[in-house]
Amino acid sequence: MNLGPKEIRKRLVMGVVMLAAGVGIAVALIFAGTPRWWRLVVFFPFWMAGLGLFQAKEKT
Amino acid sequence: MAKKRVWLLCGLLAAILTGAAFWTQWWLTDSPAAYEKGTERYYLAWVHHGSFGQKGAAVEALLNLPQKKEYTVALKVRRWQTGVIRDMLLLVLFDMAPDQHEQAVTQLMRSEYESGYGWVKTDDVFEGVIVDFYFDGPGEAALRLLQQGYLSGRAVDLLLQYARSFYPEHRLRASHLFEQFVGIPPYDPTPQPQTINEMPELTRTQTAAIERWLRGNMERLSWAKDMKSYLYEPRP
Repeated sequence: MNLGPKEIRKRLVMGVVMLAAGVGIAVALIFAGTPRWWRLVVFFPFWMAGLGLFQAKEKT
Repeated sequence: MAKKRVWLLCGLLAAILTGAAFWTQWWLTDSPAAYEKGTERYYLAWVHHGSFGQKGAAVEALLNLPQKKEYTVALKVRRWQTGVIRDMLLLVLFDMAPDQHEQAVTQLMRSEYESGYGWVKTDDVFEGVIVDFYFDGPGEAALRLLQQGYLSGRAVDLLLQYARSFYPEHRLRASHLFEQFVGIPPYDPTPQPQTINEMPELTRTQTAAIERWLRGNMERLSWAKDMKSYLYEPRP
């Protein structure tokens, strides 16, 4: 099923926002000196970002 | 099929970015002066090479942050630290804001570590020489308090011990600290003992005079905050 322009835009925005959130969280964790394993939590926002961006690109 | 490819691609992207975040170290320019013996950076370099690993690296990075951010970040980082690193950070914070941390540092000075707690590394090669690293939290707290105008018997004891030390960096530090006392007898840190149990005659006589002066005048020394010095107030 192909996405309409509105849905594509929605996914693109979500992808960018989640990517920014992931980078922000990663920087904050590095600066705060929290134990390294905490950084794995950024997998979720990065995965969401990927989903949004690739869905927008593939229009699917 | 396209959907499956999208899922695979975003999983791959997330894995790469997470991996990058996981392995990132915050590298900042190191100043050679920061490694001067006796500074926190020097101790922390040891911690970094020792058993503290990631924690040591985090605190190391902190000390390189721009001055205005340093204090607030130090406060936050300290919440996550334990043991020696936590105490080191407290002393860093105390240097930045003495009034706010005086109580905690005084508490640290009065505390006693369990036997061997402060030892981090012994007989290991660092900067090309075999050395031991020892962080004496209560002693270091006493000296930091002395530097900020809180004079104690413990600080005086430690100061004299440093002045008579076999190690040049201890004697140099004692010499710097003596400069804060206006009118104190002279002290030359350069004579080097041949063995750890030996003491050069000059050091013996000079430190004896300093000890007499400090013990005799301790009650009459007042702290001049603007000059960062102890002034002797003669009896009226």
